[in-house]
Amino acid sequence: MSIMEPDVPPFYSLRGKNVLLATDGKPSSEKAMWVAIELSKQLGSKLVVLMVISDKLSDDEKKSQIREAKKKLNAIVDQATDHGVDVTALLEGGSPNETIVFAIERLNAGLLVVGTSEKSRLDRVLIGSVSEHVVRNSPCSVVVVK
Amino acid sequence: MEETSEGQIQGRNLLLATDGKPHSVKAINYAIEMATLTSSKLFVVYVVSPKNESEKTELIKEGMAKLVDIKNMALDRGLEVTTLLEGGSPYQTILATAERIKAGAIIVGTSGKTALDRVLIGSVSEYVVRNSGCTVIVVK
Repeated sequence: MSIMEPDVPPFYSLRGKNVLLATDGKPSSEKAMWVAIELSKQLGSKLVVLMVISDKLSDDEKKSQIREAKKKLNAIVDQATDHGVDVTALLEGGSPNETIVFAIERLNAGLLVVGTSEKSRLDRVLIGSVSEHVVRNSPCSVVVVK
Repeated sequence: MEETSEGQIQGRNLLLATDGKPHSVKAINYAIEMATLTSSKLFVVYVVSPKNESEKTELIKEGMAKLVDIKNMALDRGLEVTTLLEGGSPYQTILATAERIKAGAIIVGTSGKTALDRVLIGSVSEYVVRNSGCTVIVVK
């Protein structure tokens, strides 16, 4: 069978779609931020940064996490803006896995960028990381930044 | 926070791991597109894992032909491209190759496997995502 298939997407299929960065704002995800900024710039895409506050937290925990998240989102927005990228920040509540996958569809994202968590090997075997869940369930291509 | 001049993906080696099957067409196009945009050098690895000697020659021939196709597509886009035909377990060979060429990112497609297959044995993509030392781009 030939490599060339009739339904090959047009070249530069990525252009004109948004890049979605899903981040927990932890130090381990800083590299993912740089990759997202770099790719948005290369693609000429708009960058949407999403942080999800888990709905399993208590009200007090939620309040402090929302405060933290806003600060982190602002920092990422500043970095992206400094690099000439058109950026929007989103703060949502819910299950991280589902919220990220739902956001991809809603935002017409052509590319999802995620970092990797610092969870232990055992955690990953038992519950699977957010990255692995989104790789499996994302309708768009996923960049898993290490 | 300091941005490196090289960039995270920009200007670094990009490794496309492919089996040349129909479902990997998108990953091939994606890799060529990404390498063009990021001015990266493209490496393409095709792993042959023959079950016996008689299968070997045929699989190697098939792999070579697919690599030539991909190489020509990349050359048409003006890319610098290197193709690699390797033997062994796909998982380990992909990761070892990424390490050897100091890849900035690995690009893999998603297999056509069923949900059940994935639950039971996990796909190559998921193995690579889990165990790679560098960034992985999973093309859907």
